[in-house]
Amino acid sequence: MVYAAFRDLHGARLHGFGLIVTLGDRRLAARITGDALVAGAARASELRHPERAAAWLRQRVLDRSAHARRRSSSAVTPDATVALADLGLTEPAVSALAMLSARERAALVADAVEGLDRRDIATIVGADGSRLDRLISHARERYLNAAVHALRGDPPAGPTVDRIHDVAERSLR
Amino acid sequence: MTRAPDLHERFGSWLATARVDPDDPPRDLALHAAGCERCLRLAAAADTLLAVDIGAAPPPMLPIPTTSERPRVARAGRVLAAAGAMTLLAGAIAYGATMLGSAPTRVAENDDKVSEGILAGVPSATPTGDASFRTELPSPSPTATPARSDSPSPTEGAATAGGTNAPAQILVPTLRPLPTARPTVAPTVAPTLGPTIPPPPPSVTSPPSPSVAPSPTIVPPLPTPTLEPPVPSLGE
Repeated sequence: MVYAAFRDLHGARLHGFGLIVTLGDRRLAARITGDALVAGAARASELRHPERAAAWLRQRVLDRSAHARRRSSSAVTPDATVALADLGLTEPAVSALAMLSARERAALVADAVEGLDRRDIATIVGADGSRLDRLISHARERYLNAAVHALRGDPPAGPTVDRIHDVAERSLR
Repeated sequence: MTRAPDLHERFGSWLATARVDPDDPPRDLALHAAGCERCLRLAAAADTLLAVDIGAAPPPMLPIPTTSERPRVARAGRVLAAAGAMTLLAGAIAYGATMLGSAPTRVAENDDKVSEGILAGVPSATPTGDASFRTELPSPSPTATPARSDSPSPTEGAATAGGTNAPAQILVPTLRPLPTARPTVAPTVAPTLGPTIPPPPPSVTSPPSPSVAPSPTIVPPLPTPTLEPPVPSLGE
């Protein structure tokens, strides 16, 4: 019962988080996500707040992935690329994520993709204050630089690019 | 004079610190980035993160049974371990019980034979002497081991043989004439007992030595009783 509620509430997003942290390793992501949900359901009384619970679950996923996957995460298999493409990650994004450590990926995803609160990100990566700020900005910088090199052709349109054009046009009027 | 940060750097740091739904960029940065391919690429790279739908993946097929299986396995393991420990314990207890039960009876049986041999003509005295001896055996037996190590067994054996009764000295002459016993007994018993017999004083000195402690040392010469049937014949 509690487990089903946990699964419905956190399952999909947590699985996506696990897929990104493990760089598309479906089996590992499913396993560590399932373990985290089972463990979270067992501690449901302590994890009443959904966002705190989300942070706790992600911390557990990150911890387990670090134990399970000690080797460098530079190699991304075709199947992993497909798994990540299902989440909307393009090839440049995947190759850029592969340049980061699992902890950096977790911090980047929790911050830039999920928009979690700082204290929740601190729970996930086990750092807070200036260390957490440095970790996030460093991860983001590395990701952007790697993704820029992976992009080919004209820069594709996107929310940030569109906003820049809008602001520039408004300032010229 | 410090150089003002480059517009590229400023735009890059703005992107690096911007979050999911950032505020609009400063005008100067937007004007610069709108005409800068490098900065537009950086913005496009940032958009690759915004395109991620983290909830698009279905929930994992969770291993629900693991929670119920693990306790079962752990419980079964505990039961097996407990059963094994109990079996070992029971075996050890049974073994110990058999050892405790068998050792005194052997000694008692042998003592019966010894006493029969020694007191061959006095049937009435043997039961009383054996009974008292049996009761004393269990307690002195632990002290018997140090007694063995203290002094060479032959002297003790002789002393004890005479310690209880003088007739034990009679045993020694009975051993020598036996032809069958020599191969086995002679190397160990005959040389040792021989020297002790001539001086009867050892039998006199034996009383000061604890009468109880050496008594278990009689056990090594126990094989002699089997040879004793001839004893009466020689005595006669």
